[in-house]
Amino acid sequence: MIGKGLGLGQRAALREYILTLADDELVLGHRDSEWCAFAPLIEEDVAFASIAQDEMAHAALLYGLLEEDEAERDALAFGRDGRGMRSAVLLERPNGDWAYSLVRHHVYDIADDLRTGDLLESKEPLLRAAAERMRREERYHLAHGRSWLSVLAAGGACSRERLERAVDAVAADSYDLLRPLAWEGALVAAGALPRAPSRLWDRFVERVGAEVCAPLGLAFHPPTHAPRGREGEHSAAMDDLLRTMSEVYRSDPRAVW
Amino acid sequence: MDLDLRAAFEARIARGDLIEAGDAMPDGYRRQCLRLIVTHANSELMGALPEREWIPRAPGLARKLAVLAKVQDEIGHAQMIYRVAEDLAEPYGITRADMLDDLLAGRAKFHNVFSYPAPTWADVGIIAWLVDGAALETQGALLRTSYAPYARILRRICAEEAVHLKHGEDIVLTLAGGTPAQRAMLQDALERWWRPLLHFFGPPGDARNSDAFRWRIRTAGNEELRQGFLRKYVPKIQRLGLRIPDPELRYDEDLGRYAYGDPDWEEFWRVVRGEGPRTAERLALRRASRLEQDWVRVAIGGESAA
Amino acid sequence: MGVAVFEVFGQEGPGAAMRHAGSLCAATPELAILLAEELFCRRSEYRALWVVPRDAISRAPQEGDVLGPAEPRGYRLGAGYRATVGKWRRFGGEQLVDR
Repeated sequence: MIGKGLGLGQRAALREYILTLADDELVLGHRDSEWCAFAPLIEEDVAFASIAQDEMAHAALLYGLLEEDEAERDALAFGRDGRGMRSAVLLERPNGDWAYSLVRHHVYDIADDLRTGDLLESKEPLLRAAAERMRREERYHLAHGRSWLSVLAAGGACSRERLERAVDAVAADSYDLLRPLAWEGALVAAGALPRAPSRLWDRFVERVGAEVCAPLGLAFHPPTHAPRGREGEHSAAMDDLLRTMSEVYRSDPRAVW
Repeated sequence: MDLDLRAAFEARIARGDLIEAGDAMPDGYRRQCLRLIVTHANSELMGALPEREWIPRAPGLARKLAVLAKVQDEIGHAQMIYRVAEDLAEPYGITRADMLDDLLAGRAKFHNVFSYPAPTWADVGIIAWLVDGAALETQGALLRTSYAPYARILRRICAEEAVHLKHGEDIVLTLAGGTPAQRAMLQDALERWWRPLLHFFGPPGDARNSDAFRWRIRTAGNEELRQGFLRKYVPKIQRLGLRIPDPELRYDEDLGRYAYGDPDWEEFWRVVRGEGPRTAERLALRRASRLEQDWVRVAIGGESAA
Repeated sequence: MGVAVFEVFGQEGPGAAMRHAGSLCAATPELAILLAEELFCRRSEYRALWVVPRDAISRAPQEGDVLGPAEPRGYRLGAGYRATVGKWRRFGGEQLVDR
């Protein structure tokens, strides 16, 4: 049982944080899975489908920390509406072109790498164990993203133009990923995290600059708006996404599928 | 190919030899193998389309992952099979891009069964159980094909299809044991897929003395494969309390085989000609997507499809 | 840069030899390795993977069923030394022959 020995406020903060991580993985995994059968190369279709599965499996793992029962876990994943979802708005944006999807995924992976790196130092053994398992697969995702970004950066004017557009769009939405949150302090006080996730922002900007922007000769433009996905304020795209995702499930949530 | 070399080749086949990509072979053998292999590759690619519609809609995390993994496998199969086809087609200078061009232009074949709609979640179960079951029947027989590179990848493909079968069976069993609405959805899906399943094996009466059989490219006939499928699955479907939409279907003890009503071979030929209910739409979807992604292939130095 | 065919080899168990697993197309060796993992190792079939550009592979020219010397080289095979049985007989030691 996660959060044993924590006060009510700290346990609530822990639950919020795990939901945030899980929702991020679910929404991104769902978007990634929409490329299935339509990726630019047959080989890449297979590779990207693994990445999508990894993200959604991580979501399942994280929801599983909050609900042991599989039906309850599915209710968490499929039963909430937009106001209940804690994911970053960046992740619900439609897939766009291959450049956008790759840049979005890689920028997210950088933020996630920093977050799960901190989870390795959590006093919560279940969180440490979850982080270890997720990071084994994330190493592949990071290598995949880096390879593709460098191949596309070297792929001619058209390719670079698309990458630049993607970087601009993703950067503009990126603040949501590591925005300061009201309950961060409680997480640190509980020992669940060594530091508030928002303290990772500077390292995040550094890495995105070096890994994504610099190869294109670009600088990382600080985002000018702060979406509030963590507070349940999402775009119309999220409504579409949830409607599709829960379509069959909601036809009878009490049925076994 | 001169007569001596042809005789030597046929002696190899008669001995039970396996043929490799670089071996001397009659042009007819190469073309027959290619046709079979490319049709298979095309089918794996087109087969992904009805199923991938249900990845975003799967009603649970475990099902979502399983359907995604299954479609991933099918596309992986397409990749392996096109590679084998490309190597075999090397003397003709035909590449995977050429094969995809033919497919998307409607010039090449893929299995009829992938031209039908999959409008409900129950279709996902029926397809994974019965369509994959049918495919396993034919692919199992092809394990004995004389063309070794194809036989080798078929071993892996059959192993993966066997898992897909279990996945489909699980969905079907869950729905069959579920709410009245779920059972009705399942019954409806079975009724829509039954004829396409019978069509899957092709019309009876295929010539056993054709080149495909003489050269051991194929080793089992259409009716033989269909009967194998019926023997395996009719008892199971009936055990679930589902109604097979063929009043003439019955096991004939004397003949030792299933008798079934005429499955409308006219429809079969219409779909083969490209007039299936979803054929045009799915090919158009693939064409549009291919064009949209063309810039990626150009960027990595691959072949443009435009 | 350009898309090339890579041959994939994998090691199934500890101490096993690298076995040919299949081939794939990729733009770079790095991507080829990543893709090889995905295409051939989804069910953890291998503990090690190599990718080799097909261009880097040289093929032995082949005429007929087997490679190797055209004339039999009996001295390379155990079967070429059946005469030792008769030679042991001279010493009454047929039962000492290793078969």
